[in-house]
Amino acid sequence: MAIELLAEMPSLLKERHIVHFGEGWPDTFKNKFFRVARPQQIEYTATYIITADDTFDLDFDKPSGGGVDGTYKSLLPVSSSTLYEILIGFKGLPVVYPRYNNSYFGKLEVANVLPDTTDDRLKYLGFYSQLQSPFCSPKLREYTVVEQQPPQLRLFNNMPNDERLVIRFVVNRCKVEKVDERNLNPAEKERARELQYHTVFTW
Amino acid sequence: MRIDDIKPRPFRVVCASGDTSVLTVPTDMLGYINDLEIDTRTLSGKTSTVTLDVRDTYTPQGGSSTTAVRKTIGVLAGDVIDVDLRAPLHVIGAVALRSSYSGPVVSMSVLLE
Repeated sequence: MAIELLAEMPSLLKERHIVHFGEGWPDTFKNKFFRVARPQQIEYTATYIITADDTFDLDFDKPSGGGVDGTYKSLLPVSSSTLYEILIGFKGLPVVYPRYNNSYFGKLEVANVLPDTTDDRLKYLGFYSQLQSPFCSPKLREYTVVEQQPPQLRLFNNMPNDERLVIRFVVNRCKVEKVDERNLNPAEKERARELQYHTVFTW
Repeated sequence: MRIDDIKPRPFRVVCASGDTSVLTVPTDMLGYINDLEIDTRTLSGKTSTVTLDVRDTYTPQGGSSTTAVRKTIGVLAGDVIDVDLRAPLHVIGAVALRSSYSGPVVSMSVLLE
């Protein structure tokens, strides 16, 4: 999924909710409907201290040895019947740029109009902070499945002192079951939550 | 009551007789020093300058231990002084309060949130 900013703290997927995966997702999910069979909510908080005027990259993938480390947060499922719905909130002054495949996601269409932490004209482009998605009421949402391209976050401290950023991940771990499209009525298809992969935003 | 309405609880750090007191900010929280008080009444008859250091000690991600001096305040003995911080001092690691002079009682209030 591509990270999305919502106007309010979104409600989480519940049992029997239907989701539809669009283009770009791994073949197991692409263009298919799934029904949520069992959701489980898991809180996960990560803390970073970022030195003044510096960046730190974190990745939703797992480290090569498993578990987690400073960079890799293991926020992709392992099972092909699991969907992670992840809300992300922040506490602290650093800002956060979403990235995929080592490229910035929040960029405009004219060439080179993309975030650049070394350029005062571009450092406040395509970022999120505690103002948009507070720790107590996160409004950023991401969906992940196994074997997808892992989302990445670049943390940037534009302050003169070192700063701490506390990131709250609310992980709604959903066991999902594939649903044959022919067994869904038009109303169910209409109500299904559409999950768009980040690549569809490149056009 | 909404969670946003819950006010952070202040933690008091007291430092006496030229000592050093330390409060470690939990890793999932930010600390704000919102009040510094220096009570030098125990130094009756003396007039001196007290240097007050507030240090923020922490380990950056992937780095080594760092100490940042955030505030040094000079005061005169014989009074109770509320130090005007103008804005709360932000603390991210272990905040250490040290008085350079034996005698005054120095205290600060730290909000954790």
